[in-house]
Amino acid sequence: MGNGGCGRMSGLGPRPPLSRVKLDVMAAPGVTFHVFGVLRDYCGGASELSIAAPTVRAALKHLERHQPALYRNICDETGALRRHLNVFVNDGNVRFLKGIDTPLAPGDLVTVLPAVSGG
Amino acid sequence: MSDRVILTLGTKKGVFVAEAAKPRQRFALRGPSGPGIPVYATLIDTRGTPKLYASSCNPFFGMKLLRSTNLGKTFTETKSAPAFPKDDGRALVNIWSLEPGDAKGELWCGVEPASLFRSRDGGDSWEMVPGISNHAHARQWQPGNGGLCLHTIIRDGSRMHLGISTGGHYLSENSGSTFDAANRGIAAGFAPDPYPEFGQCVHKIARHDAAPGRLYIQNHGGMAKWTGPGGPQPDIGVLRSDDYGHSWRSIAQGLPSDFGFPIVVHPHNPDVVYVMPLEPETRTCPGGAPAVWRSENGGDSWRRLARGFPKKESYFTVLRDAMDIDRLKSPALYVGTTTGQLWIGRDGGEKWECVFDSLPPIHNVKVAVV
Repeated sequence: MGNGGCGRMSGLGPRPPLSRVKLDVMAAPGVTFHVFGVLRDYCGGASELSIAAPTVRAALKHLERHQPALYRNICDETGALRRHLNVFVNDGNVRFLKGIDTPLAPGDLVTVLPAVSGG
Repeated sequence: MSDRVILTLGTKKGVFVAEAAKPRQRFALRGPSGPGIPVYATLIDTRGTPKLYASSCNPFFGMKLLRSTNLGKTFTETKSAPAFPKDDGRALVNIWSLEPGDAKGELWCGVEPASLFRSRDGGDSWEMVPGISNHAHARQWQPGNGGLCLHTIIRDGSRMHLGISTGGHYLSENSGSTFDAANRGIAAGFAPDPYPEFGQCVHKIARHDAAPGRLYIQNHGGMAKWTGPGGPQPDIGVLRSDDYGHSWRSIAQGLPSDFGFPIVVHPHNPDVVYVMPLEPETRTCPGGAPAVWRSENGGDSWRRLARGFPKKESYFTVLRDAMDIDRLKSPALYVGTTTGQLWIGRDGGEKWECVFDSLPPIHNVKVAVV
């Protein structure tokens, strides 16, 4: 599994001294990408990634470049978001915002969660 | 170490592995691995140290391929699963077939949407095989109820036979560089032209190594009462070829139904072939009385094998990859049902016993002696 250089994090509890792995220092807003539990194996165990991206789409592009193994779990080969995943910006599901073109502001929290489905 | 019989059971809830000593009296079950995730394809690769493979069709995070080097005690994900090139426009939905290649570490993989992939490093990296994946027909194939799947890969030197539902039988005679539809005699009873060049709903293809020119197909039958264009198409469901798949003829007469999914050839006799007829309307055992049917003369006649199976009220469905046969001197058949039962048919199917009766729905059964 890929480890694109991001460090192991400690879940959502107290943060270690290096609280986040800085993946991008572009001028775009700095947001936090929360990595769902089972996906942490695909980014070296990190529970959070710091990303500079103006939209969800740009954040996913960033993952495609820098965390390809994690990205493949979230998007298929065509670049489409996997069907049974939901993306939240803070508390809002992007389905009810502007989809993956939902804009991001500094400090936003982006979370990808599996839908509650199956049987 | 004494010979062990290993079964891989791909289910709706992950892969189970069952192990027994050679007499096959008691099977120990382990799993599920990849828990909660459907598995449609497994492979027991007996080359060198045995390796088990299982596809893991994760509805949330996409396809994974699992590998075990300790006979199923643990599985780990390979470094990658097959994936279409970014500019292809198709996305991997499922893995339907896994077969070993000739070279060390070589694997072949049939997927949905119907395409073929090849690995040269034991499943850690994959390349698409363009001869079939980009075939001129590929964008015209249609999905059957199970999806547009490439479910059968049979290799014989430079020949390769593929089964695609619904695409039909495709044959390569140049090691997979190019493929031609080879469906002469295979009907698509549901189409206005019942004998098209391609588009047949082939359910499974089987062959014996000692008779490579002879192949058997379980096709989509059950069209004897069809009232659509072309009219009724009886006996189109079970077929045989004697010319490496270039032409086919029916061997369905004598069966209670020509509809079914799996077809299996005896490991020591290419004349002995097994099917599990299902009623076409319900896709369950005729009359609620399960039976495997065996021909000992290449399909000229059939005999019902039901000793030990329930005699009534048992509406089994057995899917295309849920029947296999081991290679022991007196081989046993193994049948998995979508109601979660695994049955063993000892002495070539003469006597049936239920090995496990409450597993998740079973998609895939493979057996090997290691």
